[in-house]
Amino acid sequence: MTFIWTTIGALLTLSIYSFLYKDNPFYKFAEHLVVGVSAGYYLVIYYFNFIHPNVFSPVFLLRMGGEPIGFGSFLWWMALIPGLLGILLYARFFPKFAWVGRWALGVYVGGYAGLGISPVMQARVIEQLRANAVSVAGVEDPFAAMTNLALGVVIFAAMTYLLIVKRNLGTKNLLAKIGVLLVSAVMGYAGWWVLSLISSTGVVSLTNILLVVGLLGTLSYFFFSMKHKGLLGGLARVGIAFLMVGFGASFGYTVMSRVSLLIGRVSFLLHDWLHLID
Amino acid sequence: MTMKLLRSLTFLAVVSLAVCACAQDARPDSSAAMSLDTVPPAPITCLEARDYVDNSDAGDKIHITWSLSADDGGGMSDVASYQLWRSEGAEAGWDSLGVAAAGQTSYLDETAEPGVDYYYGVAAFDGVNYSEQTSFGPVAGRTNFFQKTRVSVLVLMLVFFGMVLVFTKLAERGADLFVRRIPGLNAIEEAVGRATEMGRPVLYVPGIGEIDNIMTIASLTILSHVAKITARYETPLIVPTARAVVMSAAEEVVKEAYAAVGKPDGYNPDNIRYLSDAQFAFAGAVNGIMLREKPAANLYMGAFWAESLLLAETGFEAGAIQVAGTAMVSQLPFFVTACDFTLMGEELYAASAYLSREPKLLGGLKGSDWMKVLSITIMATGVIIYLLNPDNAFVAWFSSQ
Repeated sequence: MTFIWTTIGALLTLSIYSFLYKDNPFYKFAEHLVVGVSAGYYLVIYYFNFIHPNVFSPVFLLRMGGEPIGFGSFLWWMALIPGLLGILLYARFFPKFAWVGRWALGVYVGGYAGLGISPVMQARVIEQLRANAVSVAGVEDPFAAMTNLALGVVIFAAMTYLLIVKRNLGTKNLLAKIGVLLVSAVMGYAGWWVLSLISSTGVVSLTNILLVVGLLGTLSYFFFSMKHKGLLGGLARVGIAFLMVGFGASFGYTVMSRVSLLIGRVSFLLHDWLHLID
Repeated sequence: MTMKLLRSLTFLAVVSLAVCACAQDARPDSSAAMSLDTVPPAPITCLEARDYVDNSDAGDKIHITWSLSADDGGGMSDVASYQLWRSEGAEAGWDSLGVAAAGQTSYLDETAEPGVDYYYGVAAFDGVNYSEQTSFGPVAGRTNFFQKTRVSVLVLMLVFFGMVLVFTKLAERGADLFVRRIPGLNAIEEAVGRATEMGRPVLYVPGIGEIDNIMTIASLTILSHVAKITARYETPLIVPTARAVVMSAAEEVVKEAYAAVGKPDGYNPDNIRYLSDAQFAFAGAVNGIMLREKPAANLYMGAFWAESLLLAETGFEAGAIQVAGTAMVSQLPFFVTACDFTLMGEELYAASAYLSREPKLLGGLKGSDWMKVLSITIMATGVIIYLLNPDNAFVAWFSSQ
């Protein structure tokens, strides 16, 4: 019996993979089967996981979580009211009463937003602000300080070049370009020197600077009240560069996890079904 | 004979004494240890117990603090641990609460009943003897109506709400609130135009989020804009959905859009389809639509999860022009890779505000814009202050316990 089910699963897997060649009757069959089965499956799942234990059982059988509850008790009302609100959603199917469904949506969306806004403000705004209001002061390890200094000058120079020099001075010929780069490097070093001077440890941390610059740039990119020109435009370009680096890393990471899913399916075909590998 | 016997006995006695002496030398000096055990360590001082306040405090925590025994790290230096007891009153007995290691000056009682008065006792322990017990009480845990550690959250929320309300009122009064044009919006119109030229439909996927998801709501606003363009161009618009309520909302939106541009007869309810609640069944069915009905433009706007790359990759293979928009950070890389244009994160909401000019949406967008300016200011100030003095009150204000 197990072999029959495994064979059915394997054939459906192959039918889905046949999509890689082109659309074909096998893929169509598998697609329609999964859509149809999922519709029936979710109907049963929703009823037994949500409607029965949370509405039907408390309201009609007077039991919640296996414990008896009283008719008209607080818990009974707490099951009945959301149930009625849920039924109101179906008013959409009667155009004359469709507006009633908005009550349920209003409670649902409003309650969700009210409960969610404080944790979201704490986790996504306050904590981020606090984490970024960090010192750019670094460690006093001489090697780390020298590496930081070299990289820092390059980054400061690039930032200065992008944000100030290139946008305001322009470049006309090779000599001018070299001159602009030199000016950028000097300004970069000056920026680095000033930071190091006021830093409590005398050196500055590259990682923390990247963190702060990346966040500033990204926030600037998502500022919609002004056109992306001048300094804001430069910052937005820095922000998009950081975003793309982040997306690249995320893409690679997810591709790896998808490959592991593929390995799982191939293992199912070769091991569970055909027994070709151990 | 008698002499021999006496010599033998004498020899045995000497050997026995020697063996006993050796054995006594090998044993620890138990008498010395016994003399130490009789001296208890010095008692702790400055015992205090207070209601503990944290971000999840339900009045069931009490924080106990004390100063170290004089023999902990100094004096006789023989404190091994601190024993804690708890009592519910002078008449009640003391129950063992827990043990704190030597050198520790605090203990968090997480088993208190809210509102019950407790007395706490602490004594130093040297492994044998307890010091004199020091007591403190009564103290009760209270559920905190106002958590002081969340003041920063309250202040920033009030500032944010204030800005949103101000900008919403301004928008309602007709003030010209500038929102920059988002390049992805031009791409939507180009994509629909291309589908019209090719005589093929437009596919609009509003994600698989529920109707309460803000991305789905923003997506329906953009759907209204797209439906108006397709109605004008008389291009079929297919909207597959994964949620029944989203389907009925999409029906209303598209129907109203067709009516708004004077083409109510162009609306085809069969093109607004419910496919499946199951994520990958939905993805498979949308892929089938892409291959069989061959839409020339695929628009993905809303909340997407792992199905994003399946959809976008199939659309790419089918040769459709694709525009996506989502605030799901984990899915953006796939849309950026496989689509021609992508509305990233907040651009999705900005697009819906830009298109609808709805005062509430505009107010929210402008409010969050200026919240960003405030955030940048706070961050820059924090960096400078922290650089000069790491132990500053400014950064601490944003810290929660």
